[in-house]
This record gives sequence, structure tokens and C-alpha cells, in this order.
Amino acid sequence: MSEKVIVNTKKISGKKLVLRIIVVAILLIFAFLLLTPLIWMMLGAFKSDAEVLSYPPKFFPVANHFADNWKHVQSTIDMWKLILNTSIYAIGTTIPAMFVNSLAAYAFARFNFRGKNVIFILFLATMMIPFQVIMVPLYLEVYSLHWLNTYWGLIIPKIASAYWIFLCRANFEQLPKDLEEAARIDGMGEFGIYLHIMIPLIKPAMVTVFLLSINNCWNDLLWPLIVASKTNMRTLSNGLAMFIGDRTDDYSLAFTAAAVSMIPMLILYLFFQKYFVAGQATSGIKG
Amino acid sequence: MKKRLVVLLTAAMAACAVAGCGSSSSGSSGSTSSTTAGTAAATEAAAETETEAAAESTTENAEPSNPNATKVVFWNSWTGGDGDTLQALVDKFNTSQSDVYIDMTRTTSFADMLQTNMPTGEAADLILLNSNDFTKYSSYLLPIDDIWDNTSLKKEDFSDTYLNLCYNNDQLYGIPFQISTYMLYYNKDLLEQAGYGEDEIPTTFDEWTEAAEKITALSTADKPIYGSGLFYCYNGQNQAAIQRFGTDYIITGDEENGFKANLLDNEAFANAMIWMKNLYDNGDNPKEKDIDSMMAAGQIGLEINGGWLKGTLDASDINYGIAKVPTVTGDDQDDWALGDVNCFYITSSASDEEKAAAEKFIEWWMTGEGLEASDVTQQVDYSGMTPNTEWSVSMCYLNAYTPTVESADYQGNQVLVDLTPSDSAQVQMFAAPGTLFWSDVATCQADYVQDWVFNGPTNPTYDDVQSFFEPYQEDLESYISEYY
Amino acid sequence: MAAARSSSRPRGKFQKKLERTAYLFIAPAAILLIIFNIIPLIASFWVSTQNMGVDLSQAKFVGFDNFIRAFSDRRFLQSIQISLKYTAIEVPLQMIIGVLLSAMLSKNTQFNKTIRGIYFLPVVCSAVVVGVTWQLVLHSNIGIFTYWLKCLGFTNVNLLNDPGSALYVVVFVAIWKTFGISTIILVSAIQNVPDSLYEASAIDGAGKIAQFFHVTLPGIMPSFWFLLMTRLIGSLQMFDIVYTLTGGGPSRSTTTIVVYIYDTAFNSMNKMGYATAMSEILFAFIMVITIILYYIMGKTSDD
Repeated sequence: MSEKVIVNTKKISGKKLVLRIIVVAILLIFAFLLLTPLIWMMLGAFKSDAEVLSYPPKFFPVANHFADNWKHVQSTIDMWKLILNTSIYAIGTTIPAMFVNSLAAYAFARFNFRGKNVIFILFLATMMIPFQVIMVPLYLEVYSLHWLNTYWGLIIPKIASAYWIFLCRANFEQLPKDLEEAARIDGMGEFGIYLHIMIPLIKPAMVTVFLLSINNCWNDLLWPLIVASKTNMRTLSNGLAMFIGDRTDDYSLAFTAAAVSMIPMLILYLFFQKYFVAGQATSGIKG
Repeated sequence: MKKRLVVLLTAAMAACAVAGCGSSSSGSSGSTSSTTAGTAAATEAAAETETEAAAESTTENAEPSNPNATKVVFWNSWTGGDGDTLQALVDKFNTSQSDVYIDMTRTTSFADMLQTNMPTGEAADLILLNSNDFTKYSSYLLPIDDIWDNTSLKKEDFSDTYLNLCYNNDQLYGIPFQISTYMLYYNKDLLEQAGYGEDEIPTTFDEWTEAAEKITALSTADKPIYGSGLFYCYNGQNQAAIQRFGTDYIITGDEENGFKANLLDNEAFANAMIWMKNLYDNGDNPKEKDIDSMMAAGQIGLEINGGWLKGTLDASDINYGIAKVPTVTGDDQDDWALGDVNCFYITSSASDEEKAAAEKFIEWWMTGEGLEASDVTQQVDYSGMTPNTEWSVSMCYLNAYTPTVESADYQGNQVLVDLTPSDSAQVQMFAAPGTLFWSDVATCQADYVQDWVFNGPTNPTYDDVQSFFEPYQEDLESYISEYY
Repeated sequence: MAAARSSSRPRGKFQKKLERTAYLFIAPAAILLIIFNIIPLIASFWVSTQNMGVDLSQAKFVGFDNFIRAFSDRRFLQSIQISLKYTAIEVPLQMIIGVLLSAMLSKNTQFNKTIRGIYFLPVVCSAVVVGVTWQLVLHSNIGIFTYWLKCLGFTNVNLLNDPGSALYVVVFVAIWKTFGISTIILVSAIQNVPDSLYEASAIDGAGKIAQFFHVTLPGIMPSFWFLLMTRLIGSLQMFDIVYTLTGGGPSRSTTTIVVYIYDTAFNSMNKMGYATAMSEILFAFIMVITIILYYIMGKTSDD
């Protein structure tokens, strides 16, 4: 960063330099406020309870106590089970969601049929329903299907999403016209066109849907809290809420469990940052 | 440049964490692919921490050694300082025989779990529940009168006072597990530094205020110290003080003669509120919600709490004592014990087989062989005690089971003997046993005490209390009309 | 669309087949949305007229009692007040921060990209992790921020346990978690403002700040409105950060509407019918606000 700023400033006046310094300072302050809590929390996973309690609090650990902390976490929470449940929930929701929603989006974007606009608006309207309103009826519904505390109960109600349909439809619409005409002439079936021609063309959008959906499920709290409250069905979010809750006085438990639960999403973010950002950015423009 | 640095830094952090996990418990992470990962981790942990407390070697994730064992799922909210001992006892049961396996979960979200799972029969087979709360769930609980036939337990061995709380429509639903009474915990070192002799423990609330001020004065810049450690968001502990001020339940009366909310025109309640408020306003009582950990860190002089705090304090290195909660005059109130009764209940989720197995566990709890001395953190010689006696003696919980009460170990515990109320006394708080509004009333108590302490007028008078609590009195009246 | 269908295409049969295919393609999503969104929405009206507790079989019809009761329930009214206060602070702050930071970050330099990447980081963290992290960071004894604030000369730092400050902490943490999204959305909106507009105003002699007000702001209005609307709705439905950070305390000072609804339905109170009635009141309220905003938005963009 430093080199670049200096190179630029050679050309600009003193007043602009001051402005630039102020801007950079503000940006860095925000970055500092963002990173320190997260880093401090992750470093906390390496500290012993005594170290955490010592006054004044230290930022960096003196020695690596992660092993003991992890053991303590494992004796209280079956973290592997939580991670497994969360993965099943996230992947089990996301894969069908990509298929079901993009298929509907494709129909909305590339087909003409009676009632298309009305149906699409009805679809979009479901985005307006606050989850709390349908929370209790949905719980009762899942209960009457005997799906409470099952992966089915967690996953199936979460698959269809007007938001993903909306996002995919916009991408399908941008594809050149007559694509499917050519394929039809080649004798390809409609589903084949969707699967082999259309889907590969909106790959970036599909990756975005995949990542955002995984991330949503991974961090989802309220829904798993209600339908998967049994110990062996808990996901990371509500599992941690259940075992830590407001008991953050068990410091090594809180630090370590929180840090570990965060790592998979952090890694995903590091590698696919562009797609995460793209998903959010487009939602703003299109809206 | 910078971006790569950040990426590198975060990646390094992540890698560190992963590597740390790999090297620390290579046994467990190496075997994640197999289904026994949990067991491996647990046994490894157990093997490596033999000298440490039993708490570290819980087998919560382990599977029963006998695959044909009847599995009894057991939920409770014992997450406090006593939870580790409970876990150790359950582990002991699981290893002492192979027919029944108790799969225990201790959780802070116990109420949500019951609510969302009971209707579906997905709830635990065995639960620990406050005896006041069980009428609410009674349609999902099984009568267990057959326990007298199926096990060696005898009805006459249980104190009627407590066993009667477990009946609904003449059917027995619960077996008393623990009678938790509230006690005064004091930090001996802080009292001494504040100029108190060894036996000078506050016995009146005025003395409490006085001592609190002196102890708070010991604060340093690095370590704030508070003489008084009431946590206002904790209803049981508030209520203990309120009732020792001489007031009755929050809602008095009975179904026949009508119920009445008891906040207004109640001098004893007003005095309790004024006392609490002044302690807070003087800066002698913190506003934290985890007073227990501050007590364990030596930052609190006086605190009221139940036996679960004892486990936490035993594990810390502070020098503490236990006494009775003060009163206004310093005279005791033997006819009124502060606390509540928690019982084992078997839910309708249990099959006949699981129900029988759960009863077997309850039988073991009362009559079986408990832990050895070295198994737990408390420095008590446990050899020869039943689990029930160990539980009582180590946490200072009163007991409803006569053989335990009459045992030499129980009688040899001075705190327990001191706390034992007269025969006619009820151990009871908030509202009369069996009232349907009990849990609503108990829940909202923490709301109005906090509201009063944090938002009420300073230097309050009796009249201030009357006007402040008027809306809350109305709330309580609405609970009554909702159920009766 | 209708015109397209009825127009020149001679292959009516083929068109029919395409229609059938289209319906087939939307069917899975439609069925799922109907079962898990529409039906529960309709059912919620039924649930809200029931007195429903732990024992579902004992539910009984009480008409509009639950709605009437809500408006005399002091705790519900208090939670509305808290949610409104929260929204009134969070949304403007979030928008101001979003606009300012996005203006500073709109150029695609390496430094800006990195900073944007960092700002977005908490978005991928779960509310539980965020809640636990901030509980510890602001812990009155062991918290690093508490200690730093003390070093800066603040005494008696106890932000999370003070009913006077807890709601502001929730606001702060909520903004901390989400301002990355706001910034990114506005950055891409700014980048979509055509360069020619800037050039034109530069010719008119406008300075950077004048440009910001006369070119950038009008240019990003659609995104701004979108953001404002989603933030507003999101704030009124605030649940997860409160649930994991303060649990609604101290002294109910952070009990927002949805936290109260959740507690009523699934925690100690077990009143599912009543909880649903309250959530419908909230729904109606949000609808009204959305419509008003939509109306204002239409007006301002006409101008």
C-alpha cells in the first residue's frame, strides 16, 4: 500500500494529500475494529483459562494451550457431530436448491406461458413473509410430517427460495437469444438444453448461489433452533447457542468452540471472496 | 501487496488452528473417518488426564460397552458447578453395570428443548425438572407408582413433605432428586481484610450493607471488588433475599379463597427492594450477570446462591465459607426454607423398557455405590456413600430420602444440619406449589427486580416502591386471571 | 408476452409443449414454496386465534383475544419501543457509514479491494460466533476492548451489563457485522454511474464534494433505496445478534419484538398462538412501512 500512495502523492497537492491520509486513516480504523475482535477471539483458543483471566488481558497467547482447550470442548460438546450435521444441512439444502431454483428461474427467463408474470410475482411475494410469522405453523407442519429432529425437516422446507430464483433468472435473461433454438434444431430435449447448455453459461451465478446458500445454512440459527433441538441433531450455530448460551464464563469453551466453528467459512471466504461479494453486489443493483 | 499479506495472515491463523488440532489430538482427528472418533477422543482424554478431575473424562460422546444395553436419554439443565459431579456419577453408573446406558445432555436451553420435543415424543426419557413446573408438562409425563414394585425403593423412605409435591391426581410422577436451598457464601479473606473476625459473619441485612461497603473499599485499580454480589437478573437468588426479609410468595392465597398478587402494600417486600436498590446505588454491588465467576475470582464478598456455586468455588482457589442467608433481625426463620425441589421425571417418550431402565437408574441413585474419593474435585472422602448422599454432601443439598438423611456422612456435615428446616417447613419459593402460573411468576420476577434496581428512583421510600410496582402488580393479576 | 404467444408462430402444438415444459420446470419450486411458505402463512391466521401451549392437543379457539391481549401487554409494547429505537439508530448510522465508506472505496485500487475484503469478513461469520466474540471482547473483566477503553481513561466500562448502554452495543455489533454488505452494494452502484456524468460536472467546475452530492448520490439512489428498505425490514426483525449477545437483557433493555416472540413461543412461556398473533402484528406493521417507503421512493425518483 505504502509505495502506491507515495507514488500517487508526488503528483497531487498538499491539501489532497491531507485528505487522502484522512481517508486512509478512517478506512484503517474500520479495518482495525473489524479484525481485532476476530483475531483476539481466535487467539483466545490458544490461551489457558488462567491466561484469559489474568489482568491486564493480553492480546497474544504465551503458550499453545489449544490441545487442552479442544479436549475440554470435546468433553462438553461433540463438535464433530455438530460439524457433520451442519455440513449435511448446508450441502443437503444447497445442492437441491441450486437445481430446483435454477430450473424455475430458467422457465421464467426463457419460456412464455400463461400466467407467467402472476406466478413470478407470487413467488417474489414469498420473500416478503417474515420468518417469524410462519415459524410456529411451519414447526407444526414439520411436526405433523414427523420430520422434527430429522435432516428432512431441516432441509426440505429450506430448498425453494424466491431469492435464488430471482438471482438466476436475471442471469438467464442476459444470455443471447436463439441459444436454445439452435440446440432444438440439433434435436436436444428441453431438459438437456437447460442442463448442458444453459447451466454452464451461468456458472458464476451458480457458484454464487452455492456459496451464499452454504454460508446461510452454516450460520442459520432460528430454524435449526426450532426443528432440530435434540442434542444429536444440533447444528453448529444452535449447538453453540445451546452449550455456551450466556455461559461465556467457561472461557476456553467459548473461545475454542467459536473459533473452530468459524474456520470452514473463513477458508471458503478466502478462496471464493469474489463470488461472495458478487452475490451481494448484484442484489443491490437489481433491486 | 497488502491483500496477499492479509490472506497469508489469515491462512496462517487457520492453518495454525488446524495444525494445533491435529497435533494435539492426533488420535481423534486421525480417526474421524471411523465412527468411533468421539470415543477415541474421550478415552484419550481420559487416559491423559487421569490425575485431573473426572469432569475432564466425561464419556458423553461414548457409546455403551454393551450394544444391547437399554439406552435412556437423560436431559437436564445442570450446567453449573455441580454439573461435573453429576456427569461423573452418571459415568460411574454406566461403567458399573452393562444393562442400562444413560445418555446425558446438560444444556442451558433445556426449556426450549422440552417445548419443541415433548409433543412429538422426541424428548428425553428421563428429565430433571422443578417440581413446581411439572403440572405444565404433566400430559407428557408418565405416572411411576410402579417404581415401588419394580425396584427396592420404598415409599415410606421418602419424606412426605417432598414426595407430596410429586403427585398429581393421586398419581406419582416424580422422585425427589435434590432440594436446593439458598445459602450465604462469603469470602473469608475479604471479610478479614475488611476488619472482621473469623466468626463475624453478617446475620442481618443491615450488617450485610455495612460489610459490603467495607469490602468494596478494598478495590484496586486492577481488580474491582464488590462487597455485595446480588445478581438481579437471577430470580431465585433475588427471591431468597426477598423472602428472608419476611415476605410471603409473590402471589399468595389458594384456589378456593382466590389468589392475590403480593407486591403492593407489602412492607417486607418494599424493604427488600429498598435494600437492594441502595446497595446498587452505593456502588457496593456490581451489575454483572455472571457474579459466580467474579466470586470465584475473589472479587465478591457476600453472595447468595445454591449448592451449585459450591462446585465452582471448590474448583477455584478462594477461601470461602457458607452460612445461612441473613434476616432482618438476625433471628432465624426455621419454618421457612428457601429453595425448591427438583425431581426425576420419566416422559411419555420412554418405552416400557426405557421406563424400567430409568427406574433402575433412580434406584441406583438412591441405593447404589457412588464415587471414590479421588473421582471428584471436592476434598471429601466419598467412600461408602450412595450417589444420593454424595450429591447432598458435596453440594450441601438437603435430601428427601430418609436413609441418606440419617447417614453419618449427612449428619456429619454441619452446613446441612444447620440448613435443615423444621419438619413442618416447606422448601418453597415464588408461589405456592402446584399453581399453574408458577413459571410465569418466577420468570417475571427477574424483570421487575432489574427494572427497579436499574431504573428506579434513588434513595427510594416505601411510597416509591408502591408507585413503581403498580404495573407489575397488574401483570401478576393478569397471570392469575389467565389460569384461574 | 401475450402478444408474443398469439403472434406469428404457426407451431401451436410446439408452443403448447413448451408451455407444458415450463410448468414442469417451475413445479418443484412452486410445490415447495406453497407447502412451506404459503400454507404456513395461511395457517398462521388459524394459529393466532388459538390458545396453544405445550400440549398441542389442548389448543382452543379464542378468536381475536390474542390480538387484543397484545396491545395491553406491557412487555410487547416495550419490545416495540425497543425495536423502534434500535431501528431509528441502526438504519441511519448504517446508511451513513455505508455511503461514506463506499465513496472512499469506489476506486478499484489494490488497497481498496483489500479493505473491502476485510469489511466483508464478518458477513460470513455466524451470529453465534459474533455474539460470543463480542460478549468476550466487551466482558467487564477479561475483555480486551474493556481493558483498552480503561487504558484510554474511561472508568467503569461495563457496556454489556448496563441497561443504558446494552442496546447501543447491539446496534454497534449489528452494524459491525453488516456494514460490509452495505458498502459493497453501494460501491458497485457508484461504479455503475457513467463516467460521462462526472466529466460533464467537472467541465462545469464542480469540486469533488459537489460531484458527490450532484452526481454520485442521485446515481446510486435505486441501490440506496433498496438498501434502506432491506435494512429497515431487517432491523425490525432483529433476532439473532440479540439472542446470542445479550439474550434480551439486562433488564429487558434489548428485548426486541422478535426476541419476545421467540421467548413467548418456545421458551418458558409456551404460548404459540399468542406469539403468532404478535408476529402478525409485526408483519402488518412492516407491510405498511414498506408501502409508505415504496410510495416515497416513487415520488423522489419522479422528481
